[in-house]
Amino acid sequence: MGQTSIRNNIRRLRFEANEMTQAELAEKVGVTRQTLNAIEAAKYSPTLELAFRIAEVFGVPLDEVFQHVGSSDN
Amino acid sequence: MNLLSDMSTTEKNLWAELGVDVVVALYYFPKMFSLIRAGDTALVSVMAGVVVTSIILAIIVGTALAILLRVWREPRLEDERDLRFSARGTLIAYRALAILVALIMGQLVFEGLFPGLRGQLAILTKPLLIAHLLLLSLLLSSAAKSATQLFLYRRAS
Repeated sequence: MGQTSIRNNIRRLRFEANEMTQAELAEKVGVTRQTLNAIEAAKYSPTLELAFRIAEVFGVPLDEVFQHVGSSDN
Repeated sequence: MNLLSDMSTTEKNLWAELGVDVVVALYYFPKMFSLIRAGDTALVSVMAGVVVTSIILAIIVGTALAILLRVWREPRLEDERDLRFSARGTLIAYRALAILVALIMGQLVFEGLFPGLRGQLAILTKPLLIAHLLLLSLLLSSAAKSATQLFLYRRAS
């Protein structure tokens, strides 16, 4: 229910980052675990600032974390 | 409980606020409107009792819901999602309040313009009833704010 058009790889990136928990990532980027869970499930689109903070934690470019559905075809 | 762990502290607080609003409104308004309609001469003294009981009821229900929802267990951290949902809730509450106040004003203007048509719904002659209708409007808009936020939280969980 309520899926956004932004997909993400947060789950995979967390797994690759030493199996970082949602709570740990949430604390690093300054949001609640529930908000991070909603972002990961593609039910909430974060602001650009938060999206950059998440990418910074993993040390990857923004487009490796978030993709707009259909944008790769253009 | 899994449902509780899915909720942020802000959302739990909203459930508690909505619960208190609903319980107090269900107690307060039927009592008040029946008193006003009956034209109780000792209305002020009776009203004071109802107001005090409402406050006590709000404290009891608020405490019970806080215990049930375990709101004190986590620090209350507000993030961008809380602020965004709060802004949406405030917008809905503002619109609801504007509509309700416009309806009350419309009724007052109508009764003022056509005194001969005053029927069962006449409120102009009862200032206390007008005050309570405005209070009810405030409460409904507050409930609309909480309900909107809770809807957004549940949809995104």
